Amino acid sequence: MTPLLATLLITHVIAGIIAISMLYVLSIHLLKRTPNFVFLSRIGWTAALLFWLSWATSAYYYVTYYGKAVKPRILEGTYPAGHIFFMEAKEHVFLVLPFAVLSLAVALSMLRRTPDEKLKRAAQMLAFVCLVIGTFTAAAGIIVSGSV
Amino acid sequence: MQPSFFQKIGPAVHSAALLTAVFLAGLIPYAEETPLFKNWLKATFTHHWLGKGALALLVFFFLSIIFSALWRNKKWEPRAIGRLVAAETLLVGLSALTLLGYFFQHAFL
Repeated sequence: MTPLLATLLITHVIAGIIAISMLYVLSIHLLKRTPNFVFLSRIGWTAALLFWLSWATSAYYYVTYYGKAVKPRILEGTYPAGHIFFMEAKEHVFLVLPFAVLSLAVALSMLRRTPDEKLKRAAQMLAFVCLVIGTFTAAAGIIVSGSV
Repeated sequence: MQPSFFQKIGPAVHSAALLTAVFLAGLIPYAEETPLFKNWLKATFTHHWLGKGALALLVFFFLSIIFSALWRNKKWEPRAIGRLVAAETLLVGLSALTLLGYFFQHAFL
């Protein structure tokens, strides 16, 4: 693996983990009766930015390296489901996340200007669903790495 | 009070994200089951996964722009936007479950 690919892979993992942690922060803070929406909208936009960064860096690694060097080793190894289910599900389920988190950041920015209980509850549910999807993709990534 | 930038574009972005999730839940199994379409994605975007992502980006930004233009004079109550975000949450969750279920049956059943 070249230093560029290693850097991209590390960026993908770190950006993704920080973004998922931010979704956790959002999910918890949105439970408060009067959350600080200035803080939460900043967290939301940072999470969105990090998911887009994670997507872009993973794309280069996945297309140029994973298919040639990693996938065949997983398929020939003792746990081919690491690719057949976990990688396939991870890479595709992830695709809904950047759009949903961007939309969450927009909702939090609206709440910053006009707090509303119904919108706050909807944003909280969206943050939680994104957190579950993000956690699944991260866990699947760990399983894929362990399958090599 | 004048609506903020995010109040103006919010409903369009939520609707676009909702429809993009539904689009992906249909597009991905269709591409996996239709070799001709999957090969077209590969040939056009160098990799089928990049193709799916590019089409999702296209759908999301196209719909965001279209809805923003259509609703530029519409005044949205925060409660109505709340219902829209709740619908988006439901469909994002269902789309993710659809994809998970599809790849589970594809791998194990």
